[in-house]
Amino acid sequence: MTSTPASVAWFARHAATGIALLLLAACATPAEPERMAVTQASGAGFPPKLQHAMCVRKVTGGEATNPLWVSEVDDAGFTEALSNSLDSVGLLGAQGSCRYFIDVDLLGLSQPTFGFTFEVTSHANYKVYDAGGKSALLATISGAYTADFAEAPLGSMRLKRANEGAIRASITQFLDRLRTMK
Amino acid sequence: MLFSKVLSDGAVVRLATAAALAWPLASCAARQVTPVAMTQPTDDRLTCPEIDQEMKSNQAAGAELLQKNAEVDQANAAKVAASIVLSGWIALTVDLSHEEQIKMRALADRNEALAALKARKRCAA
Repeated sequence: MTSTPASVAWFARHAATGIALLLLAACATPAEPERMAVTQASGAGFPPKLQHAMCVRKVTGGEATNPLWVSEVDDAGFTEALSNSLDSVGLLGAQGSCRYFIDVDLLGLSQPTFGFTFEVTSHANYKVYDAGGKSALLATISGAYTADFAEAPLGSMRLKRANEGAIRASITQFLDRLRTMK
Repeated sequence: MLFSKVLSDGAVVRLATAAALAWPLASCAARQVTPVAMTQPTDDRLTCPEIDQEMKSNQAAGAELLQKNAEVDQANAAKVAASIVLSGWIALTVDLSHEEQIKMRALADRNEALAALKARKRCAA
């Protein structure tokens, strides 16, 4: 069997399409809360008034993941990640005993379309209110993370890891801001 | 002449494969997006008319971004459809920066903070 230019071109086109599609999407799954949570942070340095006094009240702006498209971060996953992070540093209050309420608006994730390394930046507005409804902290935080090929060879997984890392970076910065809260 | 020789040698396949494998190496980062911050260091110095003015201009900018966001969404959908029908390469031009959406939501939150500032300064409604 001999290959004609037409069949060669046909093969090349379909091979390239296949590889491109493989790199792009396929079975995207949402970011995992346990990978977005900050669990290694030190509990030191936070104002005493915040300790065991904070609750995550409302998270908006997250997006559900379409399995045929790219991984995203949803509201429930972020809420769990933030609550677990607060718990790990001793800030999470028991339901009913919260003195500070946190609302978060997930503005969005800036994602690359393709790449060997994926750098994702998460943008979020963190709003902390006291029991009287007065704002105690309003912070716009952008957290970036780069996931490389070694971390996840498959493109869709690499993007997911980059999303999770970008949220982790955002929560880390938020905790740092809480440490300086007066 | 030379081109047809190359074709017959199957070099196109090798070139296409090499390009497909090398393409991801040319890492393409998302466009940098800088959303407006909810609070700014100069906020306390804003007068009531200045707060009103900023809120109005934020609303206008938000409406413009809403329109742009819809256009980007439409273009992305068209690119995905074209990538399936014509070539997978087209999908690589999809815009996932979410720039308009991020800026739009940031402006809405900024206005919320400005409204709170307005109340704190006892500005007229």
